[in-house]
Order: sequence, then structure tokens, then C-alpha cells
Amino acid sequence: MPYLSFRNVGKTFAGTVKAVNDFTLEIGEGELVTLVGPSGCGKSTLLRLTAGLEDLTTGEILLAGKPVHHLPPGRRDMAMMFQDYALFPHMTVEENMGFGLRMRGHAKREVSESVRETAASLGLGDLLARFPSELSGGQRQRTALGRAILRRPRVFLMDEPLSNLDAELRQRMRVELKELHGRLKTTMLFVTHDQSEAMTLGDRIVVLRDGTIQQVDTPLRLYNKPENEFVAGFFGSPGMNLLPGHVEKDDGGLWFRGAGFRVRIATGEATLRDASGAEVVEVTLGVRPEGFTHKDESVTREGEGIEGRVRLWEQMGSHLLLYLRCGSAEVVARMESGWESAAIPHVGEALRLSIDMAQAHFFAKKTGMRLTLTTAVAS
Amino acid sequence: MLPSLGFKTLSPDRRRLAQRIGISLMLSLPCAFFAFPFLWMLFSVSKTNLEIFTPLKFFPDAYSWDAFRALLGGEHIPFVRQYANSLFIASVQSVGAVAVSATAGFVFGRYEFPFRRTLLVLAVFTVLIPRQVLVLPLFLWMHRLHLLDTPFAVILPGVVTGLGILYFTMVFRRVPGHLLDAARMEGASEYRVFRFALPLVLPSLLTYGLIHFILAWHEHIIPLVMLNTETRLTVPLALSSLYGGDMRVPYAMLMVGSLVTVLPTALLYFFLRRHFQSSLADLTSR
Amino acid sequence: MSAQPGLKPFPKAYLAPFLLGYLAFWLIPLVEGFGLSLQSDTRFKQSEFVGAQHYLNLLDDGRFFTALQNTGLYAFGTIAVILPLSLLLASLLRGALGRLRGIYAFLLLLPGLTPPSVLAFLFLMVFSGPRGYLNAGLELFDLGPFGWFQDPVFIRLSLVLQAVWRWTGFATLFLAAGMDSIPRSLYETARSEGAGVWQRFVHVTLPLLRNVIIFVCAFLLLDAFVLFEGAYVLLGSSGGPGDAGLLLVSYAYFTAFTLGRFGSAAAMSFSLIPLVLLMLGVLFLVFGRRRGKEA
Repeated sequence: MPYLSFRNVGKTFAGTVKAVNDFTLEIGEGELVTLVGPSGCGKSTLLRLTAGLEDLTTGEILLAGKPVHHLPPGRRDMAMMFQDYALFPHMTVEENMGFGLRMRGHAKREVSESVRETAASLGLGDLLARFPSELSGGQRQRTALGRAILRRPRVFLMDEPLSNLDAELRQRMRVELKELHGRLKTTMLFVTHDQSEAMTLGDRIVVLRDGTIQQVDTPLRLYNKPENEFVAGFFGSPGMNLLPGHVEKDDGGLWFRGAGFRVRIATGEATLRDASGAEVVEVTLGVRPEGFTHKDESVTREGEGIEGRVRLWEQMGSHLLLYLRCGSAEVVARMESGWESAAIPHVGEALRLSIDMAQAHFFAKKTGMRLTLTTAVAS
Repeated sequence: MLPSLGFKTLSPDRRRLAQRIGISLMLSLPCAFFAFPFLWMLFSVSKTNLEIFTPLKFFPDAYSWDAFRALLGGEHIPFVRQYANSLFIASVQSVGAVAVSATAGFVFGRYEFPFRRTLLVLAVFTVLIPRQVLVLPLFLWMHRLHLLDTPFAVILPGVVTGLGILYFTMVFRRVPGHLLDAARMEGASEYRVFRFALPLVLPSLLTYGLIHFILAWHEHIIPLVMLNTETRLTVPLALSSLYGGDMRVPYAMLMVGSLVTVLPTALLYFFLRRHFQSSLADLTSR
Repeated sequence: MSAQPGLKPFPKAYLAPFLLGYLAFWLIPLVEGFGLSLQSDTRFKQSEFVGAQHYLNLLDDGRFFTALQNTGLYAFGTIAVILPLSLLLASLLRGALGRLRGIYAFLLLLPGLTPPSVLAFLFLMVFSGPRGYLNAGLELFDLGPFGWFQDPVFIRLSLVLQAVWRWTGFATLFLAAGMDSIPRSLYETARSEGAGVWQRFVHVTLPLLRNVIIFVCAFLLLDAFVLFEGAYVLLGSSGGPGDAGLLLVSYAYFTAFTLGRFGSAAAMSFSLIPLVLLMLGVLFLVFGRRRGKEA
């Protein structure tokens, strides 16, 4: 049964700017859903709508089956964590953490007890009397977290809470957050612009763009089966190579012709079709950097790969990134480390890479939507 | 590079110090000029009328507390009573002005609502109209309300100020929105959010209170029109009635009166100067 | 089902004191004052509607124009002296030794903290009393003694001096705070581009201080138009010899409370409003248009 549901939620600012458009989503109890997208995609607005900090223009939001979108923020029983932590500068760590309970009229002793307990579990036990200005970034972050979890809200709303931390601390907090979620099992909506954060944290990921849902899926399916070009390009680092071109058919099967190269998609009778079943000819080929392999020159025949000139390569330790210019397109390929000792690519040199067609994706050029390969069976 | 003023040989640090000392010396001149009359006033507290009118006589022949005693003892005017009137009027008016301006400024600065712009323009309008223009109708108003010759006839017209409302609109706009959102998330109603925001803008509250207190303490024409019983006058009125030139009044008394009149504003400024400075910096860095 | 796109809740009650006070102490007096200015000069009762008669009378009133001229001169004089002076003092203040800054600021501010009537009295006693320090000092240079309160020229000058004494401290503090908020890096860039002290002042400080300067000027202007205490203490509401110290507010006060001609006085007061607005408009035209950039 869905716990937190959005039904056709829309938000229009100043009468014209559509920040969120027809957003429908169901989240189960205890689920951790990440909302991801480029800046301005409406993800923060959506979070603020959920919190009640903004009024929605259309649609409704239900919590445990009851509409909550007309309730003020304090009565929705949700807790929010802000990017800048939003700690009250004139209150100590203890006062900050206990603020919510005090607002709800809990007894002083009770508040201070639960503050102490939570603070201890977050390693803030010794800092209760300090003011936010006397804390490090990580400690502030924990204080804000403590404030959020202290009153056991029904939903956690996280607005990029990790983005103000340095890389190392962010990594650590990410793990801690995930653990915490495993322990508390509270439904959580986590907004981020960082695709790797979204991938590692989320049970499910919602990809937003211009206020519209692009895809909702588990991290793995999102990575392996992106619904459209945007999602495909958004995940992975470096992102998927997207090469424009068109489909050709001949005796050898179905071919993709790009700028200056041609690869075989399938042998025999085959077509690329969109969701409605229509055949599409103008397509974009998507290949992740790890979808390339370099085989011995003699093995790589025409039609199995692309050729380009090496622009640059980057040694990453465990692997190596190769930047190629193929005609007018740029391609990034990921090679296993150690590979270069066998065949060191020199800048400017021509190099031939083959594409693993099992890992290739196709999108309609016009709509950007995913295409599926259908092989004609017996005709 | 600095011109060769002889400090070519000094290290940059020392040169900077020398420069600062030079500038400080230069500044002490206008400062002395501005403050000199106050010093003169201080020393004239013990002078006889004859000494006061002796040209270039700075120090009195003998020091005494007579003038203090005369003033506080109520000779010529009920000074203590009038001083209390002034304190009451200025304090109540500035607290009231801060309260009215901060509440309205909070709503103007943080919310969208119908007629917001219109109301704000109306508030700006009051900044541009000198309140003194309204002395006459205000006098008639107070006459009708039977408030003439009471402190409230002076206090009430000063409580609503466009300047205060604009100032607090700006101040509350600068409060980080996330802090207020966090308070909302933790269950504060919009009314409580304001009370919660107050400590965040404490320096601005104090600064505006100080400025308003100074203006109220200085106010002359409104009390002049509204008050007339001697025991109900404010200090500036009382003193200027004495300046009026009865030569039998010892000038030393006037000196004492003037001196203690500077006291509240000077003390307030002294205690609040940090907040005052930081709020000024906030405002001007807009 | 869709959400009712109602208003976001806002604490309406917080507007109530403002609205109530605005109505009672601004709107009603404004309307009533204007009505008064259209009534004949009788006190409280039996007044009759005379239309724009009082305003037309003002056009024939020589003293009104004298007061207007004095007020204008006074406003222009105070701004012309205080603005450059406080800019200079603010620059110096920022260069002074850190510990002395607070003391200097306080000394400069002291006159501003003093009630203007007290200030006028002190001014009278020290600077320009018949045998005051100013005359005594000038005598050393074989100048004067000047009749600061007899000679029309000096009456105007002493009113300006008094305002300079009163407001320079505040203006300096505001400007210094404005200067403090200009990023250092801008000065360092200008310096590395070869700009000298004066050039840095003209090309960096002044343009970036524009808002503060406008604020200070507007404040001085408004204050000049309502100046009353200083002249009242020095000269009473009469205006002094040759009406040199007759200012608009004191003339209106005199007309109302000495002559009892309320209608005329109200018309006089109300004629101030368009004047003040006009002057402020000129001010914004002069300063506001520089480079056409929005603040």
C-alpha cells in the first residue's frame, strides 16, 4: 500500500512558470526515494510542496491515505533537512535539536532526555552546549540530522543535505545516512543533483527535468535501461556517448550509420521500434564508456566498430579514459588498466574500437525516447 | 608607490602605522571642533553668569554643585518631572515604533498578499511627507480625543513610521529563508515564526529602537503644540523656555540641564554602538 | 480532485497595528488637514468653505516666498557642506588607528545625539554669542566681530553651520559603513591598474556609495524642510531681522498658533508636500541616473 502519494501535482509560479508538472508517484512505507535532476528541474520545489512550504497549484498529496496538502508544514509530521542545515544561530545544539518537540509543547525534561539520547547516537554528546558557529561542517550536519530524526517524523525530506560537505565527509555521511535509514525505516525523500549520490542512496530514483518525471526506477534498471536520451546521458560518469545517425538495412542485416562510421546492429531481418510500435530510422546510438573494447586490428572487421583519433587519455588508476574524435563526434571510452602497456595510444594516433552491441542503446532522434530492437521471426 | 615623504626607508608595516597616526592626528582636529562646545558646557556648570559671558574664559573660578542642586531641586522649573516625562514619551514611542514596524515589516518582507505593493507605497509616502506638516490636523485630532496635554498626544502620532516599516521590510528580507522554513517544519505557526525570527534580527531591532529614541527625544514641535501644563512638558521645551532669556536664571543651570539631556542618547549609543555599526554595515552593503 | 489554489497563510494580524495607526495618524490627518486648508481662518467652529483661496493668497504672500527661499537655501547649503565634509571625514576615519575610531565616531556624533534646541543654545553660547569663541577667534585674524544673529547673511550661515554640526557625524558614520562594505579586492584591482588615491575615490568609492549618498541627501533634504527647532530657539517664530531666519515650518507654526489662522497655516503646510516631492525627484535625477545602472 502506498504511504506517500502524489497525484497530478503541479506548481506554477507567478502564473506562468511551471516548476512542477503533473507529478504522480507512489512511495511505499520505509522506502528511500531519491529525486534527481539538473538545477531548475523542480526537484526542490517538489520537496517544498511535500513539506508544505509551498502551496501546490493542482493535484493532491496523500500521507497514509489522507490528504495533507492543505495542512501547514508543522502539522504534516515531516522533518526536513536543508542544504545549509538551517541551524538557528542563536540556539545551542541542544536547543536546536529539541526545538521541534518544544514547539509541540513537550515537557522540558522529556525533551532534554531525548535530545541527549539522539545526540549521543550521533556522536554529538559533548557538544550540546555549543552554538552552531562553534561547530565544524560535519558537526553542523549531524546537528541538523539530529533535529530531523529526534521527533520521529513520518517522512524525512532531505534537500541536498550533503552538498556543502567536502568529498571525503560527503562519502562518509552518505554511508551513515543509508545505515540510519536502515535502522529507522522511515520513509525518505532525498533531493540531490548528484547522480552518484542518487544511485547509491535510493531504493528508487525519480529523474526530473523541467518539472516533468523522466523515469522512475531502481538504480540498476535506470542505468541499464534508460527510458530516454536525457536519463541515459544523466547517469554514469563519464556519461553515455550519444552518437547521432540513422538506420540502414541490407543483406548483412540492420546497420547504424553515424558520422564517418558504420556498425552492425543485428544480422537478419530486424527493426528499431518505439513504444507505439512504429519503426524509427533517424536514431541516436548510446554507448557507455565501458561499452567499447579494443581488439586486435586483424579481428576487428569493418562494421564492428568505430575509428577515431586519440585526443587525450587520462590515467585513473583502476582504469583509463580514452578521448577519441570520430568524425565530428567526441567519444569517451573506458579501458581496463594495464591495457595501455600493451598498446600505448599516442595522441593523434588512429585507433579502432569495437562496440558491444549488447550494451548499446538506441533512442529516436526526434523524441529522445528509447527504441527496442525487434527481430522479425519467421516471415 | 608612495612619494618620497621620508618614509621610503621604513618597512611597509611601519609606513602604514605612520600613515595611520598621521591620519588620526588630522582627524582629531575636526573632532575637537565638534566636541569643544560640550567640553565648554561641562566646565560652565560651575560658572556664574558673569563668567559665562566673559569671552574666552574656559575654566570657572570655583567648582560647585549648586547648579545641579538648583535644577534637581526644582528651582524655576520642575525639571525632574519633565525629565521623567521625556523618558517616558521617548521610550514608549520607540518601543511602540519598533513593535509596529517590525510586525508590519515582517509581513511585507516575507509574504506575498493582495495589495502588498499598494500598502508598501503608502508606507513610503509617509517617509516623504514630513510629519511636521500634519501638526495642525494632529492637534485638532488630539483635541477631539481629549488627549491634549497628555503624553499620548505626543507618543501616538510617532508610532507609525514609514521609515521603520521600510527598514524592517529590508531587514526581514535578509533573514535566510531556510531558517524560517526550518521553524515551520518543526511546527511553528506563521505567527510564531515571527517571534522566532526576532532574535535573528536583534541588532536591527536595537538599532532602530536607538534611532527612534534619539528622534523622539529630540522632538520639539509636536510636544510644543500638544503639551502646555508645565509639569507635563518635555525637556527640550522646558529648557528652551528657560533660554527665553530671563537673566535671573543662572546659566549654569541651563548648562546642567543641557548636559543631562545629552546623557540618555549618548549612553544608549555607547551601549548599542556595536549593534548600530553592524546594522549600518548590513544596510549599506545592500 | 484538485487543491484549492487559496492564499498562502500569512500573519494578517501583524498588519493591523500598522494599518490602524496609518489610518489614524496619517490618512485622516492628511485628509482633514487638506480639508482645513480649504476652510476659512476661523478656529474650530463656523468656518466656511473657501476653496483654493488660501493657496492663492500664498502666491501673494511675500513672507511665504521669503520662507521658501530661506528653506531652499538652507537645504542646498547643508547638503553642499555636509556631503563633501562627511565623505572626507569618513575616508579619514577608516584610515585612523583602530582604537581611536570609536572615540572619533562618538565625538563626531555627539551633536547629533543632542536635542536640537540644546544644540542651538550651545551654538549660540559658544560659537556666535555676542562675544563668543567664534568672534573671538576671528578677531585674531582682524575679522569680525560678526552679528551672527543680526546680519541676515550670517543668520542664514549660522543656521547652516548648526545643521552641519548636528548631522555631519551621522552622515560620516553612514558613509564609513558604506565604504567598509566595498570589497577590498576592488581597491586592490584599481591600485594594480595604477589608480591613485583620488582616482580610486572617484572611480570606485563614489559610484559604489551611490545608494548611501542618495540616502544621506534625501535625509538632509527632508530634515531641512522641517527644520524648526534651531531657528525657533535662536530667533523665536518671528524670523529675525529681515526675515532671514524665517523657515516654512516656523512660519506655518506662527500663522497657526500665534495668529490663529488655521486654514492659511494648513495650506502652507500642504504646499510643502509637492515641494518636498519635487526636490526629492530632482535629487534622484541628479544621482540616480549615473550610468543608468540599477542598484
